[in-house]
Amino acid sequence: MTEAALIEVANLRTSFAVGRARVAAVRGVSFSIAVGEVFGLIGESGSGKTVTGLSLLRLLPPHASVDAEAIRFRGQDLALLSDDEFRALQGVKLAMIFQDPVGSFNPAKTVAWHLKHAIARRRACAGTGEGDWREEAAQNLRDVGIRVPERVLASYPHQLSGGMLQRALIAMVISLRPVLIIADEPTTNLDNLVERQILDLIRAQQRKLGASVLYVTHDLAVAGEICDRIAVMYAGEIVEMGPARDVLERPRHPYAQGLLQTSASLERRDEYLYELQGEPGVRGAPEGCCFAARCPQVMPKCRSTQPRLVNVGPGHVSRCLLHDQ
Amino acid sequence: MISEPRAAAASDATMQVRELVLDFSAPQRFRKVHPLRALDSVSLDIAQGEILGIVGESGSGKTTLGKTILGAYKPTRGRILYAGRDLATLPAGRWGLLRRDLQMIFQDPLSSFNPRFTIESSLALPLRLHGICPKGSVSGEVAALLKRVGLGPEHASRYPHELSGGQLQRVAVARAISVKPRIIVADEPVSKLDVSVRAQVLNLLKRMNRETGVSLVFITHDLGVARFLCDRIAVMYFGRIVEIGATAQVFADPRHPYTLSLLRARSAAPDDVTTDADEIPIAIADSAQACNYAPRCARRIASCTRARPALTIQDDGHASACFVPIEAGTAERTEGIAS
Repeated sequence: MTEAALIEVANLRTSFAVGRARVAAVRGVSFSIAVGEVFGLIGESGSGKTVTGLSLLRLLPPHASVDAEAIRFRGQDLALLSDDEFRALQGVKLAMIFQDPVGSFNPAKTVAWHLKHAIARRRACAGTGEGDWREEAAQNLRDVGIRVPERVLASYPHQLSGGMLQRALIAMVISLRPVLIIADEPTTNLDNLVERQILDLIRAQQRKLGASVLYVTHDLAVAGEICDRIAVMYAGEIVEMGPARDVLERPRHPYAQGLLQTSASLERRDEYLYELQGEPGVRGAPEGCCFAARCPQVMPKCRSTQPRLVNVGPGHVSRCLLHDQ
Repeated sequence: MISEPRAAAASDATMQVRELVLDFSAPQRFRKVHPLRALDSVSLDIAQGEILGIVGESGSGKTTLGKTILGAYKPTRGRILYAGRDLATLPAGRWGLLRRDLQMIFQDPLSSFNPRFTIESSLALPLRLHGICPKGSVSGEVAALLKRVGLGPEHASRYPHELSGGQLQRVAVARAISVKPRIIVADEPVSKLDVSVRAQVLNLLKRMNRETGVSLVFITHDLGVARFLCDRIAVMYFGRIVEIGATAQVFADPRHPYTLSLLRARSAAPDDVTTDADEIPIAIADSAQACNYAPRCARRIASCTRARPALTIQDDGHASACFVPIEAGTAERTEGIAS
């Protein structure tokens, strides 16, 4: 792990109680995010990417259990903090951008009300005095490309488009001056054009604040644009992790290779697209590789041996028995 | 402005849509009703066996257009010519067998099946209603349909919630093709699916189109998917078609500034995106007499705020609704995408 790691997660396991059984959503995930780094978590629905983000922020419902060797934030083990102590970080130093901007706002309050409270909360946590929040709120909105902040401040959430609302939400997050932003598919509900603008915006504001970002997405193209490093998740495990360019240009794990072959065949305009067989989230046998049930290169031992993450390049790891050969 | 009635005509049109207008007016108790024009003078042809893509951002009217041509909404004005009849004015009671010809695949597969029906009953119902096959062979036909879309006979007895989104969307395809329709409208059929199964469903749609010759109206906001699947593409903006043409033409040689900015949003150079977050407040005397795209347009000239450009068709069938269309071959920055 690097010296400048802002957050280090070691062997995170999250499971949910379903009736009398427990269902594991995250099965031993380890990663670290450096200061100022954008780290992407890619996977399909049910792969555990969102649950990983929510586990870090303690935002899971009570029937979830989070277990980790360590979650260190600036060297401090977050697991040791009580809920009250954690709340001083949650939503201030550690902020979240959700997929659905509409659900992130109180529909009965104006944008100004939301920004006012975000600014007040940061000031309360930092112990700095009361100042004029209005000027700061307007400036934050200008920073996210809103030209007439007065109009947006006076608006209720339903009066703004999805793109504008996502901008307002980012302005709110900026006003907290977080050091880690967890962004969970923030552009999934937006159109291509607006998506591009929001991605640029997150990247620009992240650089300006010097903040780190945990960017959760299912979209490889988006991850390639915004992330420095990415981890590909399948069925609760990280199957490949490394610098974004290496993973997207020279993927080593068969799952990552399959996803990229599909986008490559789309770009080439093949008559038919490359298909990964099988259904999402299907796990192989518990004692074998999680991807064995869908893998085009599956070998008999994949069903009985669990692969480890092995180095396949500088800072690039992949979890596949093919690498052992 | 009279829009060109023969806009983007296809020689062997299965369906001809002419100057279709649809106003939604939500009843308001205390205020004067301002109808929302969801479709504004839309004209297009759907050719036999083609895949026509309708692209646009959310709220552009692409889903409304798809539903209107199937009769789910009654248009305010305009004509929908199909099989010698005008569906726009045809009373609901007289559609009869026409319903069988026009089928739909929805975005969310789970909500488009009755949760209390097994897959077999869901597939058997239209077969029996339309008398597609003799009563005794219905379950054999269901098995054959499942096989055609890549599912096994074991799926027949399952309930919708027991299948994954990708499997269920295959069943939706099977249901749509089971009655041997002429036109299928597919409304964002892969946007709710996981990346690893999208390709499966897209390939299936293409294969069904090639095998059965059914026309497919494919509604999407994803240009990459549209380019893979569609023979022609119509770009919608605020209820109007701003550009329509063969897929290769639209990608290689976009004419409307909105199409160009959509294409640039896909390419890797962020600075190229010309539109802004705030619509620039500009003086428009009468918004019905101005181009919808004018407030966001970088190429705007004075007449854009005073008159509405009509969709004008070129000799090659490529049409755009713009007073200052991009000249052929000058959309240099899209080359990388088109190649």
